[in-house]
Amino acid sequence: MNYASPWNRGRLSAWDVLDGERRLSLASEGTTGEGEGVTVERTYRRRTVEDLSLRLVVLEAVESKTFEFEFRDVELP
Amino acid sequence: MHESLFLELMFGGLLPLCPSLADRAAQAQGKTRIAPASNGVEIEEIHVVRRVALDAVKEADLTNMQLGLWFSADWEAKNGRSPPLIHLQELSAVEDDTGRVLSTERRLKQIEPLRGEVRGNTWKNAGGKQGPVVSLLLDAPARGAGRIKSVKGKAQVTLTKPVSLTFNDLAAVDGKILDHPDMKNLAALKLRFSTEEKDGRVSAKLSAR
Repeated sequence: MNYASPWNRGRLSAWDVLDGERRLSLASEGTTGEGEGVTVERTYRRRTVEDLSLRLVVLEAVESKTFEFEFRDVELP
Repeated sequence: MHESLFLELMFGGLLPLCPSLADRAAQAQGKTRIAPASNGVEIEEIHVVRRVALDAVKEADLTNMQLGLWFSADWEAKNGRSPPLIHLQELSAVEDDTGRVLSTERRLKQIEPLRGEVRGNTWKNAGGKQGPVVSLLLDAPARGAGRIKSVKGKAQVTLTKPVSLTFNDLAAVDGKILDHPDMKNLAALKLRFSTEEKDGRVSAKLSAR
């Protein structure tokens, strides 16, 4: 799932619900869009959220470049 | 200039990589150059598709053109496992030489990098340069067209590193915009997390708006 633009969601690379260090296995997963937003819902065979944790992997910028480009009279194949 | 010496000098950094030399290098390697590079950007591919298909629905996208752009540079840092982010900040109208506009409003709406940062999934490394390739899906040119008049725009490419963040108390973040002391700008992503316990199952939702 690419949490794409225009909400900088491209920066959310992954998320998981953990029990200790172990990822919970999924019972189901669904995605819904609403306007320009998106919600990912995951269900797990588990009675309570107690002792569970959430782990995100977020992309942090390390280097950025801006490219301005212009091509003219490009031959078509 | 002898071909091997030319390549050695160029890739050894002893010759500036101006467009004419780069063109000659591509030719020397027996490779195609579609157009001279523009400030590090190369046209990586033009792929025109014209199809007919039995039983295709009316809305099927059978005729189009993929325009690949390679944003090449000398990057200081490149984490091979972390995807780059690409934001196409500007794109002028793309038009063929018959006057047909290929970047129609419908096509522009579907080009995600025009709306903000998206993760790149194609990375090209060639000729001592490297960078992401972005493919733009546009209308196909007219049958009689021979050239694209202009492809002009501006893009920001950001290299990244992955940062792992853990929230140990789910109740404390339930229904809230996520924030974390290890990443000061996380709240700006406006990620809302919530959980629900129902019928012997736990449901976790992560929303971005």
